Amino acid sequence: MFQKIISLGLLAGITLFPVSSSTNTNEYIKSGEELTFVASFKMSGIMTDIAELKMNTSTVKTKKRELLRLKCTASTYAKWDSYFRVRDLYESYVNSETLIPSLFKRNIEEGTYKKELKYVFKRNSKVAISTLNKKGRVNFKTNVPIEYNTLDIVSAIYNIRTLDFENFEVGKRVTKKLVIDSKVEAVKIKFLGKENINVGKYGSKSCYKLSIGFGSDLKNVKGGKYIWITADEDRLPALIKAEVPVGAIQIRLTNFKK
Amino acid sequence: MNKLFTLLGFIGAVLGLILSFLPISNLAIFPAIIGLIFGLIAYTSARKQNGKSSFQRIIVLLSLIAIIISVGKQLIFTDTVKEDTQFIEKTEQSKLDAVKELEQLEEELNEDLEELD
Repeated sequence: MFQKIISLGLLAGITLFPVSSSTNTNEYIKSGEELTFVASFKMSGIMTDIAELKMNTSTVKTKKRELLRLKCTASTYAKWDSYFRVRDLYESYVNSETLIPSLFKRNIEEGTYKKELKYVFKRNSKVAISTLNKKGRVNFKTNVPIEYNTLDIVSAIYNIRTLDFENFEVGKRVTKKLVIDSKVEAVKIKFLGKENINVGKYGSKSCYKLSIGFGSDLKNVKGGKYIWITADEDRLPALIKAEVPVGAIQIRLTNFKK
Repeated sequence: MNKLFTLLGFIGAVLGLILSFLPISNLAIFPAIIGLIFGLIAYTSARKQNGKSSFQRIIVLLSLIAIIISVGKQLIFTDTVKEDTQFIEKTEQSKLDAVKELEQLEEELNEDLEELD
């Protein structure tokens, strides 16, 4: 259940951006950015805060190049830990200019459920090597055919923020491909225009509103999924809303540092 | 009718009290208010009939306690994430492993380019 909340929340918030954007020069995402969110679940009409989500960027040096590490963590609040403890880690190592990933890692601990997933993007061979580790499957490898611009779930949210929304017409649709659960999935994004929303202590902000739709297996995930990105130079994912069959998920920005 | 109000009040009060101690204590307010309303109706009705009203009074009291706990928890406590050194270490280790994997990927890419040359 929690995996669904976090994954859907991340999916909803993370998967928007046109193919062309991936090759755009990144002007917005720099090392040292720290975003904090509160993930809530709607139960009986009341939003209940469940977990804290953090998204950080930092520089990582290898022998030959410098990459941007995009790290997302999800941790349940202490009050939930005795019932259902969640410690999820999502990482993407991307080119700092194009935000195209070379490596994606996902390490989740949700209650007693543990899973590790890794994609090594071999762009020259047009393949992502997926390695899965979970109960009953150790080092299970799959070759996933990819295109040059195929992203992972984390690099995607950062890519969306670099889009030129100012030149988007209301109703504009874009499709993007990303690797989700060792399969390439198409994610459809629709630009819905601008809206003013309340961003906690930062007050009311003008935001770009986008709706998200999933293809193939994910199409069964019903309900509206929306993301609001601040229409300023920070391009912050201020609010994410996703309806699920058992309620609604909301992820709202509470703090940011640049 | 008084029995029905008493029963509904009792269910609301107990449910509210249980929920108020759980992480979803904000939801306790609904059954607790129901418990309080039905408890008060049952209490007034019992008093009018000159019957015993101590049980109805307990229902009202339990409902009030549930409301106080539920509201109090929201006002006093702020949600925090427990510092988890094991998780912090895991994220750091993951970064170190990633650097190794990225360097290996770079070497493989170089080898592929050399083969093409």
